[in-house]
Amino acid sequence: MEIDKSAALASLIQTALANSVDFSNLRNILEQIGQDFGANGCVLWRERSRVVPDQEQCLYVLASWIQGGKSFAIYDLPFDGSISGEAIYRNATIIDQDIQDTKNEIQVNPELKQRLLDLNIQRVLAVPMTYRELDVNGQNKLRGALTLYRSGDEPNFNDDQAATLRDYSNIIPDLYTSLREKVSFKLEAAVFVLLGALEKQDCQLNDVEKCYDQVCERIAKTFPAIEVSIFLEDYLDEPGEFKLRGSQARKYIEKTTYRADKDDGFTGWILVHTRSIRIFRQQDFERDKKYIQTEYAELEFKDSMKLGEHIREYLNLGPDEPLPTISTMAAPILGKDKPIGVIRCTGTGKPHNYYFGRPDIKLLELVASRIAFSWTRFMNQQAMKRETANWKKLVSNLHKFNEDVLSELGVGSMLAEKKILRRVLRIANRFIEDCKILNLYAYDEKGRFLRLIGSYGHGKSGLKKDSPKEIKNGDDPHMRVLVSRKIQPYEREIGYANNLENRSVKCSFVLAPILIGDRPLGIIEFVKFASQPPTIQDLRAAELIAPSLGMYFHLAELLNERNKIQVELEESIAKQLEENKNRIATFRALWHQLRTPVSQLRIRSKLLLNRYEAGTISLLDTQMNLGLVRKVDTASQSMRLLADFQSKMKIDLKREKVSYEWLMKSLIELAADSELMLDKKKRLQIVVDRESIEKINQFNLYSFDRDFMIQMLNNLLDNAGKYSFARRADDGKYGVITISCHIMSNGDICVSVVNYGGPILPEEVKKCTDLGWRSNFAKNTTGEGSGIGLSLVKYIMDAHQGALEIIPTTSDGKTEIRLRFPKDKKS
Amino acid sequence: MNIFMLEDDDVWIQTFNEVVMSELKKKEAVELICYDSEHAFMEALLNLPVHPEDVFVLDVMVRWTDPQPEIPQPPLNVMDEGYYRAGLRCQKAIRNKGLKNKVIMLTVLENGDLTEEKRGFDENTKYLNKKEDKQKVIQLIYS
Repeated sequence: MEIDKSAALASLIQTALANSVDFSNLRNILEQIGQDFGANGCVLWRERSRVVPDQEQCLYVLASWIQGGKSFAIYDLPFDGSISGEAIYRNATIIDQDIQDTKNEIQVNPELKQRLLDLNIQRVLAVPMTYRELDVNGQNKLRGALTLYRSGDEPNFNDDQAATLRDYSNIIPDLYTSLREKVSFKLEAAVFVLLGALEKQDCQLNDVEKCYDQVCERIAKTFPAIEVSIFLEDYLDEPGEFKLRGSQARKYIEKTTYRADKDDGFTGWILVHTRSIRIFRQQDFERDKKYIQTEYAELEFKDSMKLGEHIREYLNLGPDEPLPTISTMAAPILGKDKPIGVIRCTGTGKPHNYYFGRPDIKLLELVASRIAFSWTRFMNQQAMKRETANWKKLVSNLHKFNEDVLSELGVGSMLAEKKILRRVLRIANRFIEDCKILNLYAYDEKGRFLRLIGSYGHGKSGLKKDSPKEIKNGDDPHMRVLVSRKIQPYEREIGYANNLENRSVKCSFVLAPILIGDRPLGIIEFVKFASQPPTIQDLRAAELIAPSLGMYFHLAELLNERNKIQVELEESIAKQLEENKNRIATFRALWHQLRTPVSQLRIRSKLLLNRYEAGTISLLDTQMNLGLVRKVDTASQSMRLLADFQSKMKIDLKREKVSYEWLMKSLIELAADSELMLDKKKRLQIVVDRESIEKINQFNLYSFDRDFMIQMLNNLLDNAGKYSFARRADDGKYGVITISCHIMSNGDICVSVVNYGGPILPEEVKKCTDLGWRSNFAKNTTGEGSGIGLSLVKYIMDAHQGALEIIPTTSDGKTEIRLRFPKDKKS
Repeated sequence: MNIFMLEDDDVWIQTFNEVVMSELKKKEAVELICYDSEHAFMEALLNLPVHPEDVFVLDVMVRWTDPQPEIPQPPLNVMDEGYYRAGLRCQKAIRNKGLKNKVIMLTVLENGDLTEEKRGFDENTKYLNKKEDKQKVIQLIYS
């Protein structure tokens, strides 16, 4: 019979070691031991670590079985006055056949005696044992006892039983340690599986909280506990606030938020002190305060949860039924350098008597570290998502802005630059915190200075066209940005006046270059009314906004100007058509010549924006756009000039010395710009004969109006491009337009443009300068041209006392146009 | 589907290619065949294999021919009207050939500039300003 019972115990132990997911098996083993010995109670005691040396040595119930499912939970049984304590103290088996017998050597303390008697216990057999775990100082192994209890009706414990129990007590510590390791491992594995599954998916807070609820449930089952809760800080949105993120008993938790800056109960204490905590019996906090506060300095217990009531409700206890043990432990969930949360565990003696031990704290800390990883990962994911969403939003905002500008370009409406600035400031403000002012500077390549062309925000709104602020100083941050082509933050105070006083405010600035390829168009200045320097996010947002706005503003400005010119000149043409009915064809051609490049400019701008959006924009694209702008400007200038000349019969000149250097530079620039605008199919090339131009180095050209000079050269190159024949592989002269300079026999300086193409016959030479005259060849081979180009060149040259010479086309197809200037020797 | 285009502005051809053709090609196989002068278009039209689904996109103001040493002699009406109405002449030539294909007159000319001419458009000939959105071009091609 005894053997059978031992076999049953062995089987229990085997099962426990194989399958234990919680500590309930320990209770089952104690029950089996109890039954093996015909006892009605079996308790596993363990020594409590002493926090301070003078603390009384005492025992607590690690696990117990009492017949009839009765509870037996003691956490502070003194060594002195208890059979088990005495067994440990003496390191000997002790049998007390009648705890009421006053003649006994060991007098059981009255409180314990009463509790045992209440459980109908009179006989006690206790054997000492030693656990594998060390005490709090890490020096001595913790001691304990395995104790059997019988009622007075049962026979006395005998020496054989005492010997057998001693045998059991030898295996119990190992069994307990193994069991704990198994249970811990299984909990650890379960938590890893739960959190691991969560991390594989793209989860929302809701999913995370559900998963943490499951983790809590699993922990509660292991210990067992009636409440396991996880509080975590959403340091992205609500830093400093630790909110309930998981629990298997949510409805019983009233206080769902803690703050790190407030020492608030156990949970708050952990956040402040970043240490785990364990209170054996929460109800006796005041009684144990001295020891508790020695271990956990400054801890105050506030029963803000009304724990007792909740536990009563949770365990379905009547109002008169005694509350079971309430044991608490909690561990910090540590982030990189600070606590990011707390995991809290509350246990009771029901359904199994259990006090949280030091190994439990270690296990809880392990789980906490896994949760820390999971939460940090989730937070990082959220931050990344938010950042991605933010960028997506910024890109989509800019895209929408681009679309709007595109559609406005499409209908040819006047683009309101102010509107564009306002839109972009709004976008900038959304993505660059505190961005209140936006300044836009255009770079004047020729003058090498920055011009403030527009501002928006804080009463500074508007375009600065009349008195633009210019920045030339190379030390200025703006110029430095332009040179380095890199975004740059800086800080300074700016002054502003309100109705009452002059004030200054410390601002931080982000300067972002507007580049097309490597060519600077200007700078955008984002002004933040904050003493904090711009963040990395600010810089990145500025970097994204700058080229977009720059591009659109650049195009809008170009188009606006040309749209205005078109409207103005169309009116002028209409008026002149009324007055000069005989020149309908000329004005119609003029109208077309003006409208076509404006339309082309608009089309090309759209193309440019499309390429910009696709990221395929090139420097050549913008150069072609500027080429079109020049074409519009040349056409409109021609028309103005014509109108002027027709009304006043003279041209107003702004004469100034034209140097060799200037002429050389202008010719090279003009050649490069014009070449871009030539018909690609013809593969034409404009060649500047530098050698010939260098020969005139010793001369100053006669005083001349530089704008008119450019205008004339533009007209000549435009004509040469239009009427040239395509390049031919068999004859190298075709497809080449040559600009050169010559010193004539009388000493005059001559700029010549030569091309091979549509002929000018000798009899047509005189007619070429007639206003509106076009040769048949010209009419049939070009889609644009109004016959005013050469007329204007002649007017201009005549006004400068120079001459236009048209050399009729030679038999080999060469046509030459010469601008002849009277010499002016360098003084 | 083929799109036969009369256009002498290479900026516009590039734009059409990048903006419109790229969209059309997402839906079906489309080829763009360009003629840069009235003469080139008229010559090609004589032997052009046109399918019913093909579309003509014609600019209105187009030169008679490229500058070249020997230019083909323009007919009298071309001499008379000039290049301003080249696209309209091409549209008439398409119809005179008995082709009923869709013709889109895509031009910088405003509605008011072509009031008279538009009266003569049949139901398969549509006017569209070049500044219109690409979607309108696509809509007209598929209308």
